[in-house]
Amino acid sequence: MNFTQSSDVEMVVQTVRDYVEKTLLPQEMAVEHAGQIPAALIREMGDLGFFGLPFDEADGGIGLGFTGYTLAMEQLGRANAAYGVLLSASSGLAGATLALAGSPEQRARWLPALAAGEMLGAFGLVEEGTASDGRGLRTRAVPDGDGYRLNGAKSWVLNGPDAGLYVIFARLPGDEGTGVFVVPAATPGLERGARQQELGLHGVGICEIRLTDCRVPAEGRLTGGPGGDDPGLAVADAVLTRYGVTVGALAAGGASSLLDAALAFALQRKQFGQPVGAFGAVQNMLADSAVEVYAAQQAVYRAAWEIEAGHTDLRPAYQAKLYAGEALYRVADRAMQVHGGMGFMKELWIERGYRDARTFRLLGLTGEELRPRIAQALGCPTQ
Amino acid sequence: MNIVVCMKQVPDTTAEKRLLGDGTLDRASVPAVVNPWDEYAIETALRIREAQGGELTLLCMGPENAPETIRRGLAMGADKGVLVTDPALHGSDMWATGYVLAQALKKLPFDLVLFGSQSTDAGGGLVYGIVAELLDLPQISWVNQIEVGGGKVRGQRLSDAGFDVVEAALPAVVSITQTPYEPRYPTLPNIMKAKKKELLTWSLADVGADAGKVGLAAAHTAVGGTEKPSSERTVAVYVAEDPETTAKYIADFLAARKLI
Repeated sequence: MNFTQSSDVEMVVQTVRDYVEKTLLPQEMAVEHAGQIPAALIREMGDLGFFGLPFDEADGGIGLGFTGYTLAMEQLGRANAAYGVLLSASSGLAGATLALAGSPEQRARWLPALAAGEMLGAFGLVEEGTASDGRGLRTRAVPDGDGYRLNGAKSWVLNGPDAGLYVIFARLPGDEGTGVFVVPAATPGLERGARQQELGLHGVGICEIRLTDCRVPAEGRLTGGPGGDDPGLAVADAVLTRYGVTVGALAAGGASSLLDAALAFALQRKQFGQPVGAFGAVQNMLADSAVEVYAAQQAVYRAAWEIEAGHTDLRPAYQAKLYAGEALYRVADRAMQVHGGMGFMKELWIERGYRDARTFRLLGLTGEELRPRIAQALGCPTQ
Repeated sequence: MNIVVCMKQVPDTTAEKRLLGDGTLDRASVPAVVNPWDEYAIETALRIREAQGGELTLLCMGPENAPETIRRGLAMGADKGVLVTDPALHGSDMWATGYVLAQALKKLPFDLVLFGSQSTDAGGGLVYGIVAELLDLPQISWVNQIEVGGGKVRGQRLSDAGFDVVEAALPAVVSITQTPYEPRYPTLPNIMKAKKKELLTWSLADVGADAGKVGLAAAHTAVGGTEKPSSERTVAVYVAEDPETTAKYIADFLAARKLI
């Protein structure tokens, strides 16, 4: 097996890593205290091309490929989770939907601004009462002249308060299935709810999006994608599967950062005249975390490679998201334990990492949704 | 304004380094990066080019794998790169490096040659002086800001008393130290474009250099041996008596270490 990457990928990954260490990590606490990522930083990440990571050059991206994007996101995950979650919600959810299902004209119209980070995108799929994959949507799209009228509400929309463009999934009349629509923020009838308070991800805006007789012209409907019985939900599924690998990459990066911090603390903090890292109980925690970080990385790399290679077996992607997201939570818990009382205090970032880690079991498809998919891919019957 | 920045590939400053049996650095065992001081020179050159136009060329003498490092400089925005590489160059000292770079510069059009003021591996800070001498060009060293115009280059060098302002007629050789501005990150699109930029590889013969003047055998200096500095620490506790005795103890302590 060949684990080396092209020099382009290596240089991009190294650049993201340098940027994380020199620019983002020093602003760790500022993001947390302000409750948002400074606008100047988002602009800078846009200027550097970070938002264009998953896109082809023709769409305004850098044409690095999905594996390169995944490796870069792992590095971004070493910083405050808000950066990677904001970026992947814009580029990896909203932008990826446009790239997958948009016509050349639609992609040319909207993707360059998203790829440049000039405008944030948001992904409006989930509603109260739906599954994370969009089954059970109540938002409706009714034909209206040469366009559609949308009514309904979307919940927990990442980048919701700040996006310039929303990708909205809505049920079409009869047996037409689900429609996918691009709705610019200024469209009459689209209303943003209040910014919500969350346990973690304090740098990412989350809110409800309400659609009241929101009129979208025909050219705002995305009709491409993999097809199937319900082409709209098939688009959502394909995007969420890839997004799961990205979330896994962010989780693997976050976990490696927490392990590094726990190790550094264990070597520096002394008790009874020796570093606590000399104690077997602490070594056990560090070793368990190292194994899980490694396993999460390998699962994510393999899943990304399978996707880029065009393989249709989705189990590696489901497994990578499930494992990495849950491993991050365990690694964060151990990192806090190694730090002792200091890990619980807001002077250090460990407690922030612990809170953010919990989110990764919810982002995209949850563990409860992934496990049956994995079991069914093994051959178990569907419910 | 055509600018050549002479850059060096150095081992990652954070990596553990080891020497080969002949006293030269084992470059294969550590990741290679652009000499961080050279990044300030590249950033300075980019700013001049952005203001005045022209072409920025990166010139590097280094091992065969140096193109990857040069590409990082190209990704920062340089227009093209030249690598001088040859098996005969292994073990070359600073004089030989300056000689080879001077030979290569004879083949390149330039108004200004920039260097980083030193490298993070050898830290000699001599090569640009050697290049200036061999090319019979004026040299300004250790400046943190430069202005170019009217056929002149003017640099600002930090001194004990403030700043020295030093001026030379172009073409000139200038070494740049840490600037008030940070070197830019390569943008990701520029990283992807860098592989399409021109990167020439020249041998010793290509630059017209005499192989007998370079390499380990021709080096004017040799590494006699290496050892790590001792990290052992000793603690002596002095229990203060009266002020006079204590003062004498401190004075004797410092004098014994030639500190006063």
